[in-house]
Amino acid sequence: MSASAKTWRTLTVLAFILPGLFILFARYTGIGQFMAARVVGWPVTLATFAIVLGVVTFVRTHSTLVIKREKYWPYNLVALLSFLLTFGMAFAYKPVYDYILTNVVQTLQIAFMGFIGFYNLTFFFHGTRRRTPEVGVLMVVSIFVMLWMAPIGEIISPIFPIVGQWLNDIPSGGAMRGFLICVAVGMILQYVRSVLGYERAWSGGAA
Amino acid sequence: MPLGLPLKVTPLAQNFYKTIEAIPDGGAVLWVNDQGFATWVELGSGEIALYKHLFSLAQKRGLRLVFATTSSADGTVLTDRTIREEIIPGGFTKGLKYGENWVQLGWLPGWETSLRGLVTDVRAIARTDYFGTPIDQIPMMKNINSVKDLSLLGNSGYYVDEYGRQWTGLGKPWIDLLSATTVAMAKPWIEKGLLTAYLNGQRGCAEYEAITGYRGFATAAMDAQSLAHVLGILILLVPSTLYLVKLVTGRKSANGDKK
Repeated sequence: MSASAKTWRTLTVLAFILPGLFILFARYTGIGQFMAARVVGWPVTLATFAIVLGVVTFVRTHSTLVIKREKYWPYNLVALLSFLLTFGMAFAYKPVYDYILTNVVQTLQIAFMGFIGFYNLTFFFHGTRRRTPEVGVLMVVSIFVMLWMAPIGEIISPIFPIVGQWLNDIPSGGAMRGFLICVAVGMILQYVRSVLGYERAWSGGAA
Repeated sequence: MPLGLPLKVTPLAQNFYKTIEAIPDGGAVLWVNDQGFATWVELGSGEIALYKHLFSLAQKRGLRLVFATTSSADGTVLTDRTIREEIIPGGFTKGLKYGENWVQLGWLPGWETSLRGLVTDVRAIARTDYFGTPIDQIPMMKNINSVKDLSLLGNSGYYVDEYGRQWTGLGKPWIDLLSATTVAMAKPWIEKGLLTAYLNGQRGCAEYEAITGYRGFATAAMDAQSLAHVLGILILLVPSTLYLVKLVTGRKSANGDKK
């Protein structure tokens, strides 16, 4: 690696490590909290530039595919025109922008999410074709939880809300606690690895 | 077809309501709406009831409301639309003035970073409000800059861990309007007292509507939810029962052949 590349890599790593260490230092000692709060604001500005970059990349990618008449280019054209129309209306004429969000974007998202409910049911149905004890437990738990959430469960039997609540509180809550601990430990390890130089994918090096 | 099934209000929803009612007079509330358009079907009605509750408390007890979005831009559009189409026409802003009683900060991209910024130094991340007014020109924001100026933190959406990481340990109550799919993630937080209260999906929203009296779509959807869940259970049970019957009758006929 050339000297300039090494210097660049070192500066990148320092730019990653120093703000993080400073924020941790300020949190646990109380010293420099005002500056730490300002440092926390920098990523918000960077996120804005990331959005601009995303928009430019989106327009450039789809425009290139349309100009070159690649396979399925009409869909790229629809995506591009939809984006430009929505983007333009947000600044030019808000009522049309509101109409697009309410009657097109929201409706399509709701339809997509509505599909997930039936997908889960068919997923369970296919899952129950395997006759194992674990699937039996899954089925019983699913029934209790579904009848806990819906008002009809209390009417069928008062046992459903009691068991459903217990399933949510004890087994599920315990599993979530373990999951949270694993995530927290993983995040600490990931940061330590990045500081020590073992993780380089974020700086453009090999992972 | 309406069934009119009775809805029992659980302690979860009652705690949520009581936490909001316990805000001191003149207190400031930070509400982060991180819902998407798709989540609005589940939680939107509860959010509308919440806004009506908060604005009515602003009218009666001078609460100050700060609305923001940190995760995706959908939330800020939904907040603005709710205020324009439900709150203002419903008379919940009578006697109130934008900038003095409520402010919409809009979308502050960065999620956890923005969440942290909202409770440490609002001015570091929000230079203007949703309508482009510089924040220093908004009368209400002169006295609100960090968590010490707030009385309640709240959010709505799919997630809970991100808000817990940035908002706990600050000495302020935190409430969550949470989707039923991720409500299990709230258990560790609420058991430790870090999360003060939460609403459990559309069922929780319907209970909250019943408590506040601002009934809406969530209440109407409870009958549909009951029927959909019964359908789901039938889809699970009927094939399994038929299989068991086949298994038992198959064994009986095999035993009969052997004899």
